[in-house]
Formats: sequence, structure tokens, C-alpha cells
Amino acid sequence: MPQTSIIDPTAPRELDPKNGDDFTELVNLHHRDLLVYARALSSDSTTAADLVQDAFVVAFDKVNTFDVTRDFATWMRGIIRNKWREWLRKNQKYELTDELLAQIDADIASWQNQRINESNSLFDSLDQGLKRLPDTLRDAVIAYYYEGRNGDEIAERLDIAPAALRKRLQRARSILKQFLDQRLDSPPSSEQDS
Amino acid sequence: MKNDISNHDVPLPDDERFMNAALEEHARLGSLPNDEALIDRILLETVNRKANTVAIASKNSTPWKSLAIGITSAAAGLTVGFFALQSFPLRDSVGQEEEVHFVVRILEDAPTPATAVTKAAPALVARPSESLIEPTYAQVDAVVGSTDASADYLLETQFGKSLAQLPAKAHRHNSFLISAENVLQASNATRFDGNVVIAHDTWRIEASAASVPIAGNVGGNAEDPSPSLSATNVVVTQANPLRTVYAKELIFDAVTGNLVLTGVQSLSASEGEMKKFQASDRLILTEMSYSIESIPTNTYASPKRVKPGRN
Repeated sequence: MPQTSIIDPTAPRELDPKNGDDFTELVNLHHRDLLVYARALSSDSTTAADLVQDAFVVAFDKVNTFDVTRDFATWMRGIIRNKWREWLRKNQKYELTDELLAQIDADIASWQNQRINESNSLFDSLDQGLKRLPDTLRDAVIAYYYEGRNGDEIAERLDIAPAALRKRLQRARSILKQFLDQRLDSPPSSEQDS
Repeated sequence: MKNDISNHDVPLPDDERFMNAALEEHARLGSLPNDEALIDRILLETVNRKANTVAIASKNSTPWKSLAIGITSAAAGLTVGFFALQSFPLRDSVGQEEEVHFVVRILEDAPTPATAVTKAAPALVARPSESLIEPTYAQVDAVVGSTDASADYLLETQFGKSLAQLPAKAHRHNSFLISAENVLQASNATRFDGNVVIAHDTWRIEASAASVPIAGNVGGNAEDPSPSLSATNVVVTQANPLRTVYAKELIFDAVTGNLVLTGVQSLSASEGEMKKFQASDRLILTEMSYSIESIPTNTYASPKRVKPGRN
């Protein structure tokens, strides 16, 4: 899947990362989506936060090399990817396939685009998606992600087999992903480019 | 092939990494737009780092020069701050003293908010989120009534409407993470006793006791010097520039963002160590500099004794 470009000439105001105030605003604007991105790559919350922080520090230090005709979010994701690869080498973890990496990158890029152009964040949409899940799936998701319980605990609590719990979580993630994709496809004034 | 990619114990296919990450991040902070702690960390190492560079560059100047620069900077800062505050009109119903207040947040083992997510906060400090309790004054007693000393408490300075009009760069965000052996909730303050450790972006404060007013007027004006955060028998350490201060009392001035220390026993800085302080001396510690304010002691001749029966 091709990477999503989020350059939008109709954006209300271009933020210039070389300007301190604008850089601060860009940090505010992008850090949470980039956290999801780094978390999807590294699968570790602490590492993800470190990757995002390090990436912003690199971006700040090398801001004079930033090509203003490029998109800042894309540039940041590139830096995070490089930081993540460094981390992989150090920790001897395996790398994702190019296809999967491109898919994750495209997902995040779409939501960064949404946040900028539609003021619609990934997390707002997740709020809505969770409400639409069937009760059985939502209970599993809430217990696993939001209450931080482990699989055995939840399976016992819901009186189901661990395999059934895994299936429910998988199904819930799949439904949520479909819901999010629909939200991307049909925002009020979609200008998504891909 | 799969990594051990979940924080829990349910295996996760690679192609679900995005949704898994989104759910975990949503569980952590909900729909809040900002992870304040991470933003603070990033800005401290990027946009706000330049100020530190200036401080390091000035290290080579002679100590008296540093001191003079410090005092001048502090005076200039206070003057600018004074006029800035004066230039922002306050509504009649909003007193200046209401413009600064503290919020105490319990970072771990917080009760479940009605609509919030409940995932336990990881060890990383400072998680302003729906997973934390954000008490309004009406809620404070219920929230921090706990005396669970194992919990960490986040103390945040919040500014009211008038100060919110200040340009973004003028905003100060001071987060203190306080841990202690004992926590006592009084009606108007939270008191911490025993091995109190107060972590701040700039300073680390160790104290025998500390107190934080829960609500209301906190050092909002010159007439009301009530401390926003006070501590006794303190050791203040700062990494950059390197400083260590031993003092009997500490007050955090929420308006200026400085630490005010009295009963100073010693000050170690890159320029050297100072141990001779008057009892009335006040050491003002800012992020970039420090200054010592000595109150002159005036002596007066004793009045002549008036003896009854004589004019």
C-alpha cells in the first residue's frame, strides 16, 4: 500500500518547525499519533515514548535540514522509523516486513491528516467505535486494555476459555479497525490523499 | 514469527499492531489531546534547551558577575512579571488570588472515574489524564482523603482566566511529583511526612516534611504570601547548572516559579561553596540563576527610661 502524503495546501496555516513557537505547536499536534506509531512499531510504551522524544530532539537539532516543501509529520515518522531500527539493532528484535511497516505508516498518516484537517482524532473515533462494539466484545476489550487484566484473569471472569478470549479480542480489533477505516473514508469534508 | 509484543499475555498477530497500539494509547490517556509529561520532556530538550545553553556559556564569567547577572535577571523578571500581570484586567468577581492554585493528583491506584478509563498508570511519572483524578475543589476531600502513603502525588500549578491570557511562552507549567512515607489530608492542605521526595523538572527536593494547600489562595499576590508548596529541612539539588542547597525552610513561589529558601546552611554551586548566611537571608533559586536577599538589620537607640513622677 502506498504511503499517504499529508501535504495539504489548503491547511489554515503552515507551521514552521524552525520557529520555536511553531515547533511547540507541532509537538502538541503530533505527539500522540506518533506515540501510537512508535508503540505499533516497538510494542512497548516506554520505548515508544523514548522514540518519540528522541525523534523530536533530532528534528529540533536538524531542523535547518528540513525541507519546507515536505510534510513535517512524514519527516517525523521517518525519524521515528530510524530511531526504531536503531533500537531493534540494539535489542536484537526482528524487523517488521516492509508491507506491514507501510501499512502502519499509512494508518498513522491518515489519522494525522484527519487531526489537522478535520479536527477528528484517532482517539475520538475510538471512543465512538468502542460504544458500538457488541457487549461481549466490549467487555473483553475493557478488561484487557483499560483495566490491564491478563488473559487468564479475564477468561475466568467472563467464564470463557482463553482461546475464546483471544478470538474476542481479535474480533473486536478487527471491527474497530473497520470502523476507523470507515471514519477515514467518510469524514464531513474528506480530502484524504493516498 | 512474532515478537513478545503485548504488555499482557495474549499473543498478537503483527497485522493488528496498529489497533493494539491505538487501544493501548487510548486506554492510557483517553481522548485527551496531550500527554503533558511527554510534551514537557520534549520541550525541555528542544525549544526550552536554548536557555540552558546560555547558562552554561556564562559559567566562565567570574562568580561576582554571575551573581550580578542573576540578581539583575531576577529583578528584571519580577518587574516584567509585575507589569505583565498589571496589564491584564481582572474581572470584578475574580480576585487575583484566585488566579493561581494547585491541584493534587494521585498517580497510582486511583479510583475509577465514572467515564474514564482505569488502566493503572505505569511507573513513568506525571500522567495528566483521565486515568488520574482531577479533583475540583468540591471533590478534593473525597479524592485525597486517602492516606495511602504508597501513592505518588502530582502537584500542578494551574492558572486562572486572567493569566491564561498571557502569551503561550509566558505560561509556566510546574509539575511536582511528591512521594512520602505518610500523607495526611487536612481540610485545607495535604501534608507529607517522612522521607519526602519532591521531583520537579528542574529540582529534586528532599525534605522531612512538606505541605501543599489544596484549594484557594496560593501566593497569588504580594499581600498574601501564603506558600503554594512549603517544605522543611530540605536538600535541593539541581543538575544543570549543578547546585546543592541545604536549608531549613523552602517555599515554592507559584507566581515567579522560584524556590525561596530560608535558614540556608550551605549552597554548593559550580562557582564554589557558601556557608555563611545570616538567619534573615533568603536564597532565591531560579531555573537559571540564584540570588541572595539580605534584609538589613537596623538598630535603634533605646529610648530613655521614663521614671514615674518626673517630667
